Amino acid sequence: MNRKPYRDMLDSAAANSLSRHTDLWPGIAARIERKPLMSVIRSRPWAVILTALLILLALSGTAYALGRALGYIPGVGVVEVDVPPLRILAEPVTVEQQGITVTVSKVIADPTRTFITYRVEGIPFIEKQQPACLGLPELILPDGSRLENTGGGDGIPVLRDGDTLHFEVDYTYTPIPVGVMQVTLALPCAPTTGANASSLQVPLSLSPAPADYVTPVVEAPLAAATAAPTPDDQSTAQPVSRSGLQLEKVLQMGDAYILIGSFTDGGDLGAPLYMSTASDSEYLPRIEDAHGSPVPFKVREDLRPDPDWDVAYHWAYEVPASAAAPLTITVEQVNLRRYHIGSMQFDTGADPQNGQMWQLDQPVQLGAVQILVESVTFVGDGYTFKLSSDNLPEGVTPDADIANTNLSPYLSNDINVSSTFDGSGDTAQCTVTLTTQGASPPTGRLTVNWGLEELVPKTGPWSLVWSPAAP
Amino acid sequence: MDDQQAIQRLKRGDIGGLEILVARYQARAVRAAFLITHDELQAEDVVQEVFVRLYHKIGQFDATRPFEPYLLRSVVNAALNSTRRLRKQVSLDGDLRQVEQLLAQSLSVESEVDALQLQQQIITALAKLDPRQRAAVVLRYYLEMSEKEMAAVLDAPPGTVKWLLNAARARLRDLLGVERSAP
Repeated sequence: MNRKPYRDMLDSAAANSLSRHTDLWPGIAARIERKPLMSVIRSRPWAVILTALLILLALSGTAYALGRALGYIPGVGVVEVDVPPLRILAEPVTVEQQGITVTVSKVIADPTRTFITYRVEGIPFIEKQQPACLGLPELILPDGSRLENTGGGDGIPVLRDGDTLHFEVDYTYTPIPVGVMQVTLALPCAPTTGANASSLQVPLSLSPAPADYVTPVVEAPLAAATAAPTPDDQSTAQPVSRSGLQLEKVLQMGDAYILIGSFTDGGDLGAPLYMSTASDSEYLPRIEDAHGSPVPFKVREDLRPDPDWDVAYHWAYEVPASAAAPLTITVEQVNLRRYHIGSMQFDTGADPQNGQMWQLDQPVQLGAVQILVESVTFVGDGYTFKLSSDNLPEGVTPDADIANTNLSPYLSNDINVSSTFDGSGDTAQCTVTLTTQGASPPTGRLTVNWGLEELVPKTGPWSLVWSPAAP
Repeated sequence: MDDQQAIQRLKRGDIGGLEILVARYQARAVRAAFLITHDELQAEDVVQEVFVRLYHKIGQFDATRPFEPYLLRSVVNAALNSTRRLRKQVSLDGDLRQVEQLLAQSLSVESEVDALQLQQQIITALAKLDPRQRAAVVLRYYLEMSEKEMAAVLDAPPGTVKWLLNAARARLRDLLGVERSAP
């Protein structure tokens, strides 16, 4: 693989997502000349007092948010509904400009975020010219300030319909301030991007959501949840840290409970955790009722919290409220990530010739996988290794890195890796090429470090017992 | 005026040297920051902050070193710190592999419309990554750093960086017919 197209693609993707080309210099110059904070305090104490008051006000508002009424909206998740009232788009809005039609179908504004869904149709597609409207839109308040994008981007991807393109997407932004009922969606809809770009403005009116707009949700207390003992606990008097299931929130919605929690790596797994909690995951738990009978459940991906990367993986399961408590949630197995490294050496001599090949047939053990480095060929600015293996997982090629003890250990900084793979037969074969992209590669006696990541099953079980609080 | 001359001007206290560097590198710096922050205003703010910091610490900069890699590494770090302060919504299952798959697809895309669709998908997929993973993609595939350089920037052991990229490449090859052809 040549990485140049990767860089070009990322560059184009970023450039086309930027709505403008701002000259940063005036801002930088102003910041360099800006007075330090202490001089501001001395010269404008009233401004500091006002800022402190605003911060206190914001903090008290955050505390007040605890205990607010909640509601569920399909595709959006849980929202806060009572104070201030949930605001939604008064009615769908369609704006057409130069053949491009933008339809905003959903805006939901609660004290925690702003959610918007819109569709763009009729985007002209002109060869060699960037289509419009693909960039990140802005949500602009009546005072001209802009909400910050906080996520989203899901929806229907760009599809071609004759000579035009269309797509649908949703985004989330920071909250619309209380009392604000007008907001403008500004899409970077111009056949060009950069300095000449213009935006397509869609004025949006909000209104309080009707009472039946959301499915009421009640947050239930957590006190009745306990981690069940694991087999390890019986032989360990006082485990200091333990991985396992943690229940973090319970929502009651209609005739069901939504159990939301995490699988937390307590540091005792022995290797980094790899776990997916998607609905088609192999790590789905088993949920049993008080009689040991299986409890049917649904994975609620729309209610699952954001992950705490490298620390915990979150889950959200919906169980019927009628299930006989207590319920026991059990995860039987997770996968751990292990990285295996093996080394080999070969000697190129002082002056290798382009196309020169060395037959090596050196075995390298990488965990449970053994690779055979059959040969290496000098390709002018690097080396191509031919590998085979009887038990290399399909589609996997080991990492390679050259270290030359006679040179700087950082020499391999400039080495690029490319590889091809053929796993069609019983023996997998692949090639790995290390090149310096034109510079002189290391020669002489070289050490090659091979690396291979492996997912290793770790069996539990890890269980959690939960009962709803008594009414 | 080349970079070294501009830096020497800046070292002498001439702010015009910085203006030259800003004009020369701001566009790429903002794009690099945007790939991590996924927010245009935040990306611009990050780049401004980096240039301001550069102005104040230019005395420590070795003018014989190439300027652009140094600047872009600083931008990536600042963008990463910025996203840590403002944690973005991320999806558990939208991971590094998805971005790398999309990047790999770009190798075989022929039509303009497919390429543009991929660009949008890449931006969307990037948005779903943990900021640290996003930074890994930018460092590796945009700034074309080695894994050792990435490990230094990300303050992660080389094994962690290797694992990320190895898993991504493995998944990528698993999905790409073009990569399964015989050597």
